[in-house]
Amino acid sequence: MLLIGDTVQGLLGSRHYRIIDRLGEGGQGAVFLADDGRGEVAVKWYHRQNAVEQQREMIARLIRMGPPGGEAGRRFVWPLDVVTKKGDLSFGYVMPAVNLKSYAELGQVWARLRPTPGMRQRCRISWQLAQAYRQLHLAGYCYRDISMGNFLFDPKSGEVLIIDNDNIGINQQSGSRILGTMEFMAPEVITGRQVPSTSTDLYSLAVLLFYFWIWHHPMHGMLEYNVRVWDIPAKKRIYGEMPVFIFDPRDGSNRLPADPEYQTPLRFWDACPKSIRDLFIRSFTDGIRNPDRRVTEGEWVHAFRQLENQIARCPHDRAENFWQPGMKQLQCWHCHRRFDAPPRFVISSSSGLKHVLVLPETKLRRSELEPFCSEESMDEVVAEVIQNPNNPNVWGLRNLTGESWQFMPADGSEPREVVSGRAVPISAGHEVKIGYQTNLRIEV
Amino acid sequence: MSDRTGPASASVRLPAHTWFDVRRGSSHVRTGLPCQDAAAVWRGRLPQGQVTILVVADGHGDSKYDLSEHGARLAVQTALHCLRSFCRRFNTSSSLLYDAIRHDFAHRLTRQWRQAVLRHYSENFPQDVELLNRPSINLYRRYGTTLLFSLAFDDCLIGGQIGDGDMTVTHTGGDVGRPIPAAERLIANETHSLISADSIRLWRFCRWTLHEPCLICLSTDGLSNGMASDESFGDFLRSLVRNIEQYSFAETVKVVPGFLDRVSAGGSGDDVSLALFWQADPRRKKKK
Amino acid sequence: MSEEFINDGPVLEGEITKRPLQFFWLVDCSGSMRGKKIATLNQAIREAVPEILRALEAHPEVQVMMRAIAFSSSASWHVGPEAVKLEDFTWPPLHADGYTATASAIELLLEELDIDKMNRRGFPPVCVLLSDGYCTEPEEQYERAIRKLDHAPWGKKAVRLVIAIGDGSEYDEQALLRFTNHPEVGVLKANTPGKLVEYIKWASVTASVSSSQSKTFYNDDEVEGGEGEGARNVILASAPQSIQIEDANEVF
Repeated sequence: MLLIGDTVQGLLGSRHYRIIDRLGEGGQGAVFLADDGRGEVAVKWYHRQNAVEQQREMIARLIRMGPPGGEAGRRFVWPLDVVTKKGDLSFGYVMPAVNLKSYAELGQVWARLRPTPGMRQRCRISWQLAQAYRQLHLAGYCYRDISMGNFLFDPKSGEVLIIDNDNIGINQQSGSRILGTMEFMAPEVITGRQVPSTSTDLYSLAVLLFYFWIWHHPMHGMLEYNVRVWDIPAKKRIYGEMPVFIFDPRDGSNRLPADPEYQTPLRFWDACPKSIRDLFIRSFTDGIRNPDRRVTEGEWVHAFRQLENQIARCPHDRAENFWQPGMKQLQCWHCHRRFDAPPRFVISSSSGLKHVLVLPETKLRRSELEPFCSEESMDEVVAEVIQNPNNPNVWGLRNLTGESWQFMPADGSEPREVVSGRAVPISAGHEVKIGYQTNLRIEV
Repeated sequence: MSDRTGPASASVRLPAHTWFDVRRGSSHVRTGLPCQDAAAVWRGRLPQGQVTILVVADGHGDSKYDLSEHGARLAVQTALHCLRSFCRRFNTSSSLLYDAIRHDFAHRLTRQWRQAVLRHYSENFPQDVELLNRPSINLYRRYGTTLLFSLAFDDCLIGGQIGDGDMTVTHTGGDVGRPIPAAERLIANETHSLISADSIRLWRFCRWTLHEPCLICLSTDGLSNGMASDESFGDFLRSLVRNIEQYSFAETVKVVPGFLDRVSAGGSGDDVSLALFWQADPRRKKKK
Repeated sequence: MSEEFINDGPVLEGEITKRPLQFFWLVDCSGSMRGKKIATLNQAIREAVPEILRALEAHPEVQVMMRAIAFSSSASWHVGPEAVKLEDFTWPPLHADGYTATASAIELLLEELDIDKMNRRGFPPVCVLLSDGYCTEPEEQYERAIRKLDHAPWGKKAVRLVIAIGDGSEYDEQALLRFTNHPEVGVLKANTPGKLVEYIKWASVTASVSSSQSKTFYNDDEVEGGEGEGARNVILASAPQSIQIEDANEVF
């Protein structure tokens, strides 16, 4: 066991780490804040029973191979060094220190210890999470232990971190130690037919996203409710042997019971946009038995990035509501009053149609106009909604791309050039050609 | 094996190195209110070995929660029962047990507590057929209570909490650990409880490794609210440990009730409950 | 404590105290308060103190700590920033002069409601604002101060009451209303010296007693992503009935 004031010895580069504070403890070990002489780092120290040689080798390999690349790869808090302490049979590993003041766990949000992220932040958190796993999988890794406990997010900015990366393995290669929290495991892993892989990760990711949006387990309905003896065999049955989704449109055997403790998920399911509900339904119906039908990370990313641009606030109570293509009016999920949909930018590009609500704070990112832009530039703001300084009643979309747009007025008059820095007035039917492939139309 | 709730009396022998008491608050004595806290200690052999469980609960008081003394007692009993069955069913490793408690304990407990409340209500108000047939939140509300537990075996401590109250681990060196940190967003006399909307999501759980002789201490907020500061609360805990080392556990606990009464009378005015477990040697693997 | 140093058994330590209830007066002493108004106000607060003490006899576990901010052309501590125990509190008479820096007074209050300065175990604080005129500072400054008060953890929890002094045409009722978080009470309008005394007593006594009542059960039903009203956690007994008799010709 580590104590505050202890020093542990690094195996790589023989660095020393002085333990300063204890940050928390989980199922596998405790996490400490440490000083390595140059700054603060975190040290995870395993419980004796988890400190097995195989684990140590896995971590050493992860350090050697390094984190996945790209922006998303940086969201993994990756192991930096393996540490031991003289006279102690256990061991641990070093990772970058995370600012726990700004990052929260979902459980902390549930317990009202942290603010609930708004819908826009929820979308951002969701696609960042999926994008991070996408990068991990592209790098040939599988996570194997996706769960609520290793997912941190900033409720205000929507940034995401993934911790406890010590269970990451090489897809279809690494040892077959059954890992993870049963709630999040794919059925075929629970029943022992498969070892964890990228495909079982996809299932776990869907469960985690479901928890994040619906605050409930996708299989906790009547079947779970009626279990008298809740034990390991019961959990195996519910999650692995005969999983039935609580919102399965064809199989009603596991609906939510009419118990007040089960009403929250129903409320959140109703507030959840249809595009996301459809993905959840696929994940937990076809996706249960047929791993190839599971929703991919890319599909999640696409769906949540779309939604991020389709949130309208109810003018009566400021509640955030999701707009879906085709809607002229919205009905607020909170106060149930109706209100008109804001105007939209309809963007058609080589990757298809995209809708972005026109709000005073709307900004278009490069990825919205250029679907195949580089990962580094995708978040760059390339257009923003502004007010005409001479006439505040007129709104416009300012070109920040650095290149000219071609503006085609709705009345059919001559096309005009919009040089970078200038703005196209926002009114129904106007069209803008951006680059070679992208067309933007204003719909009211 | 000992398993009981309510104020300690000399007639029941507690397991070695455990103790608890529930003191009626000075303001309750003044206004004729019953004591609305409850507490219990249990020790027995489970698959994990020798397991010690401490539980305390703080019934809400106030006229809207007029049956909360029963709510607290039933919560303590239900928690003991529920925790023991979790230990039996999730017995392959402490990680598995912790995972199960974290994911499933809150809603299993809530349901059993509600059933117990309903049984109690039907036994005591059998004439109220309408409410009994359609139990609503208004019925449960009258039993409102907080709940705080710890479960310890060898060097493993698992704890859980809904609402206020304090769980601390005090070491011989004097340092005081808080396995579940205080909820900073709850200030000015606010708390969560078993009757809060969405209560199952308001629970917080912890796992903590005990590495040297230490005192596990659970108390209702009547204790910490009567102390001048966190520092004073720490002084109290450190003085307990010092006395246990200098005299003995049994000698030390003799003077605790008097102190708790002083805290209530000179400080919080509230009921005060305290449950203690002196883990003298957490490293020693108890023989199975 | 000077006890004999005889140690023949376990002795437990730890300082025991009552839980604090922080009480803040925010008192307007601008030029318009000169004369009778300020004299009545001085007298009323003096009279209120023993009433609060008496009312809290039934709650001996509460320690009321008093402070007062006086504001005219600027705001400053009239009593404080060190809080004084209610039983040791005396009201130094205020003298009226200058403008009405209400916003500065709220800013000064906010400094003390800081999460790090307040005792987490304390009862909800009580803030009573007394004013007879328009805030002479920029409207935005007042709005900003109120918004900060509404968002500060202890500002939200505080029992905030307003007493308007004098004739309704001399103060801005809407602006004063923004200070209180008890719309059911609204602005207490003290248009006679008698009412001023009555309201000061009622506000200080009721707020103190209500704030020290048993705990509340946090259950915020916030609008997702919205401002969220947050939990106001003290329920006040209703204000003294006051029938306004004015010149009125409207038939109703």
